[in-house]
Amino acid sequence: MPTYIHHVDTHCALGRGLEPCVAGLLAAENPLSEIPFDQLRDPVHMPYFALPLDTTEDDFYQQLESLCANAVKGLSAEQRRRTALLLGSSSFDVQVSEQLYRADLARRGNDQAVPMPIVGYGKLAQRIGDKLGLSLQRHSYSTACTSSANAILYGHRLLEAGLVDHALVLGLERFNHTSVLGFYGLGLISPGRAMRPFAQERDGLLLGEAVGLLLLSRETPAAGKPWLRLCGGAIGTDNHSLTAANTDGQQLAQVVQQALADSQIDAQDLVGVKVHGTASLKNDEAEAAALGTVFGGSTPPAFALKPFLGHTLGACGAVETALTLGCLGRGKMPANPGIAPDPVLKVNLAQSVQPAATGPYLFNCFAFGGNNNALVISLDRKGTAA
Amino acid sequence: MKVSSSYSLLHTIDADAEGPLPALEPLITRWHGSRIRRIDRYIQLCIAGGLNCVADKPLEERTGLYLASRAGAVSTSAKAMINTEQKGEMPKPLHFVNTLGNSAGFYLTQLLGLTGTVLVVSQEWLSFESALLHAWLDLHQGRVDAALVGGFDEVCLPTAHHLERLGEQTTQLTEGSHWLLLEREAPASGVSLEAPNWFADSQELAHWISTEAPFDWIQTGFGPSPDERSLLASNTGELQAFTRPAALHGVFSGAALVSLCEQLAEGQKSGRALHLVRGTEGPYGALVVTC
Amino acid sequence: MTNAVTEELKLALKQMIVEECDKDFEPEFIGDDTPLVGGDLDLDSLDVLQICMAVKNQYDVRIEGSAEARRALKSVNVLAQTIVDARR
Repeated sequence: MPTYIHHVDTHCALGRGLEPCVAGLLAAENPLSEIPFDQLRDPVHMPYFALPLDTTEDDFYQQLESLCANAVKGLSAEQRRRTALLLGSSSFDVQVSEQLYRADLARRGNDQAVPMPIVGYGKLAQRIGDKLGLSLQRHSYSTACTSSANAILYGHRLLEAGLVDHALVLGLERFNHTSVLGFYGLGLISPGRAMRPFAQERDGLLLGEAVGLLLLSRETPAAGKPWLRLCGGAIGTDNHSLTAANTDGQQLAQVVQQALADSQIDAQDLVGVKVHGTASLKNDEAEAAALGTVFGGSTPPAFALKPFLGHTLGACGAVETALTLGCLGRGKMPANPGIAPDPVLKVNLAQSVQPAATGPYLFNCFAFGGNNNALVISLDRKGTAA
Repeated sequence: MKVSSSYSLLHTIDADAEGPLPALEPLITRWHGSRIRRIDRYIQLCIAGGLNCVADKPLEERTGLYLASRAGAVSTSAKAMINTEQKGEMPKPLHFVNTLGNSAGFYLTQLLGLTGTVLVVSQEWLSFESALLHAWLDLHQGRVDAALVGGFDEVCLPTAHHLERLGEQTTQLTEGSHWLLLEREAPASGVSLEAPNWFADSQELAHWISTEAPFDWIQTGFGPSPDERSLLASNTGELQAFTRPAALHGVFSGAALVSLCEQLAEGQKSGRALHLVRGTEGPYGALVVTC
Repeated sequence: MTNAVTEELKLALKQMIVEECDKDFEPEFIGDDTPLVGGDLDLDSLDVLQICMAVKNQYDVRIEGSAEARRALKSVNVLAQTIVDARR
């Protein structure tokens, strides 16, 4: 039984809600801001794709709950009890944990204050699931940058096995010092303050915060709008190095090939590729090699989303999928105008927004620690899905 | 799912202990001669458990690794947070990479030569069952031929801080690493597991047990309340509780299940058993084990 | 203390390298001219980042970018000289 994607939503630097995010993306906006870290002994300013200011008074938890509530508002109480919740994040509520620790330091001092006061990756999903009356199939995924891509994949597999009828997938990354300063310390932030995946002058990544959400279902969508069908996917492991992909790209190629096999789709039938594209020297080299292996020099039109909203780490799987599907649903395929290809890598990102072709799209998502994910999602003509 | 190997490591640590914690390196060097540098205790727990479960047996090429942790790499995350919030420094690069969810899995896959599916999942006190479900999905749908399932959670020093994080007062803390190597069902004899089930409350659980009964015995990974005792006693035979004075260990249910599987494998018990766990205030997890 | 390259500074750096890279040999095992990267010490890019950050925190000397790091981490002698020069 196929898995359909009924609803997608996102909050990222481009806006709060799918409409402004898709509009900003297609207009190639650059909402980069700058964050001062004045509390450091050696203060730094860092470019960051921050969420636009919240006009409500809602806190971290309320924002997530209302996004999720909106996604399941069309489901009855009984349907919700048959809805899994899959949450992928590399930081969960570390933002709140850091705030509590700072307050504790001020109150009790260095020796007494408890660092990392909130523990339990699964707490957020439990809270949201309880609030919305969802199924007890509430799984949280923590595999660094593939966290929410893996959540999408297992949402599909839970539906396939018939354990639930719907699956709400949430990808989450909110601004926190550990992630931002951690990446800075690894020397991965772009000194030129621009992400240029697969370009000769690429010099690293920029980070961003975002929430992405997808509602997957076994139910056939209503007629009258394009159908989005999750065809399959795969996870693969490249344990060449903890912090960089093997530049030969063989493990990455393998995970893409497995995702295609799982989806029963041939590489030449793909109509578009959402690349991972972190614009770091070695990872782009690895992804380019993988694309070369899979497509043999005839890669379908490819596009990267990180230049517009930053690398949103564990959220990027769900956020970039939601954004892409938002564009495809409006008949457009995203593009990266102005990013010229490195002649060595030979990955040409689409230079202008084109009408979205119907057919299967590939979604790449790779992580530190060698965890790699590839998904295949098809844009089908209205009411004529396979 | 057929159990082809198991291993469990459970340390009880006094709440007023100042360290050091029990050494894990000897458990690793038993299978891997040279010392592995730059790994923290959380990663050591993963590697020690995984290597001892596999115990040098050849693995299927398509073996998936399904890791469970309730709390993740708390100790190293705390160190990174002390650097950024207290000292006004960057997190050390090594601390930062070790805070990431799949760094532990990275080291284990490298040692075992695995290149397929690797997951790190969590679901509060039922995290081990969550990993089992993911393994079951992939075995059942033919995506892997074997599944190595491991759950681990660490105790962090100082213990006073750790108790505050857990929101508990107790005299003893528990840490450990619990593992099962599973294969798709084979006709041969042995211990096998069905897919785990979740229940919101004791009524839902009672209803399910009445449809699944009889069981030869039930093992709870918690100290059952009088109500729970009567509910379980009315439906089945022998009831045993696998508990510790303080089971504040995120994947304690993994310890309970591994123990159950080992008792069955060693012939101490036989028949159809029920592994039953619950969080501090529900929900319940239940899984049928047969031999 | 860091006005000149002293034996004391060099030993402190060796101890720092052993500690930051979680190596199990004695600091004295590292010769003053032993190549820190690409030689027998088997240090990788993560080790280099660890050392550079420790140098910044302990000596307030920034070594930024991989080219600068490669230059400064040629040996303990060069690293010590880099620190002394930067603090002059």
